[in-house]
Amino acid sequence: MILTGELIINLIITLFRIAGGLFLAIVIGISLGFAMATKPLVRNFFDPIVTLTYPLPKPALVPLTMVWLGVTNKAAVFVIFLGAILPVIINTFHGVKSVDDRLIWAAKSLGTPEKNIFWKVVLPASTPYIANGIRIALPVAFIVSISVEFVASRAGMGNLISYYSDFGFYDYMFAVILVFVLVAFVIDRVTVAIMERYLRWYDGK
Amino acid sequence: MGRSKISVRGLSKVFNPLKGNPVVALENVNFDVEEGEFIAIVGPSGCGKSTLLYMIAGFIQPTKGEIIVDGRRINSPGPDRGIVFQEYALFPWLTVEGNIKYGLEEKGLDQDEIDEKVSKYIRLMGLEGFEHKYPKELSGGMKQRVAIARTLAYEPEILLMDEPFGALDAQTRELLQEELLRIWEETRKTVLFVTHSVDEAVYLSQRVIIMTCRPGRVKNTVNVRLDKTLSREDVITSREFVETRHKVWVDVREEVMKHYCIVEG
Repeated sequence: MILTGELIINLIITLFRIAGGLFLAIVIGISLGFAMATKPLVRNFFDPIVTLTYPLPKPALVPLTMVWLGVTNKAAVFVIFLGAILPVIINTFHGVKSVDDRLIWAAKSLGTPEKNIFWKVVLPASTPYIANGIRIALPVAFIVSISVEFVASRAGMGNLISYYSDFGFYDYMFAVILVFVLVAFVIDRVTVAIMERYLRWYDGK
Repeated sequence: MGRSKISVRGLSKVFNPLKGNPVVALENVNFDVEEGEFIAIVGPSGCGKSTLLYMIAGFIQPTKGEIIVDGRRINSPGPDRGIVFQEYALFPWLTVEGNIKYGLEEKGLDQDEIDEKVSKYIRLMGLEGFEHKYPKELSGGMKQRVAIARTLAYEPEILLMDEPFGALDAQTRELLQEELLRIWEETRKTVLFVTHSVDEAVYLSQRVIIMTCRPGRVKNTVNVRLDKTLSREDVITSREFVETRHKVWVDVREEVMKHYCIVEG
């Protein structure tokens, strides 16, 4: 399995899907979280959608995405995106909501015009919350990726796990799971280290 | 008589909470502040002192009445009015230096000028060696020094201070009071200082405005005639200080008791 490169190729495929889904979730999730926190109209529209879909297990949507997008990378990325975007939206939303009015006032009295308050105060003040959302989204993306690949994929780590399991190669199956767990662990640690480096000013618990 | 620096005319503020009855925070407040004057505003908690200061700062709008600064009616924050909050309101993601620089960069000063002013105010507030620390690494007293330096560096003509030493321990508080007096003697900025400490108000200011309990109105104004060049010890043991303090205390006490009556039923 290692010699033929089967493991590496499938690992790379899964990681690319995770990266794609996470990237979209972060970019769109942050934008939507900000919009919901600052524009009541956006909030009223998306709030019920977010609240209702949060407890929904995203792999339940796999059959539907297969109908829409087929057994493709796009389908896998889409479901990972759906799973990962919710914690990003929710944490960004709360981050923006919890910005202290007095920070905004202080900035205004130090000459920051209203139109720059977002970039100068609201965004930096909410980065710890956004980082937390991304941290929560990360394992969600890993979990969802494997579940999607069980069903709607002809490649990837999830596909490999179900393949070995179907044919009774349980030693191989556990090897794949172990490798995936290790990779996920390392990625999580690296993410946390980067966040701690850039958020060393943050006084949160 | 010259034109007033700040003129508060018939100022009222009513808050309309989503639930419950409207709260009249301030009702028909009138007073004038001369250029270079140090005014203290005292009153029981919840009397709208901070609301009054925030309206002068331009953060919130009055329901009725107007505030005139240098002959112009104000309705938004401006570079002429600097604010210092009780809980510092430092930008936590910026270092001490970054915080002091903030307003200077917003002003669009060139780098040399910024560096010069930053080091001047770091020295003035005794912050040498802390330039690259983040606010979370500082004690309350040091944070407030940074906040004062940040506001002073922007060089506003008016300094609005909302219980700036209220969260500090007694020793730090006294130290910063003396430093504020020294800075005021040097710069002669117009200062509006909100506090609930009668001692602090009388020690620092030239005039104490006493507010009534809700709705907040001006109850009385007491002039303070103390020789600010004397040491703290000599000031607080002087007859003038003791008498003025008593005069203010009696008024404040009366309002605090009224406040208790409302709260207790």
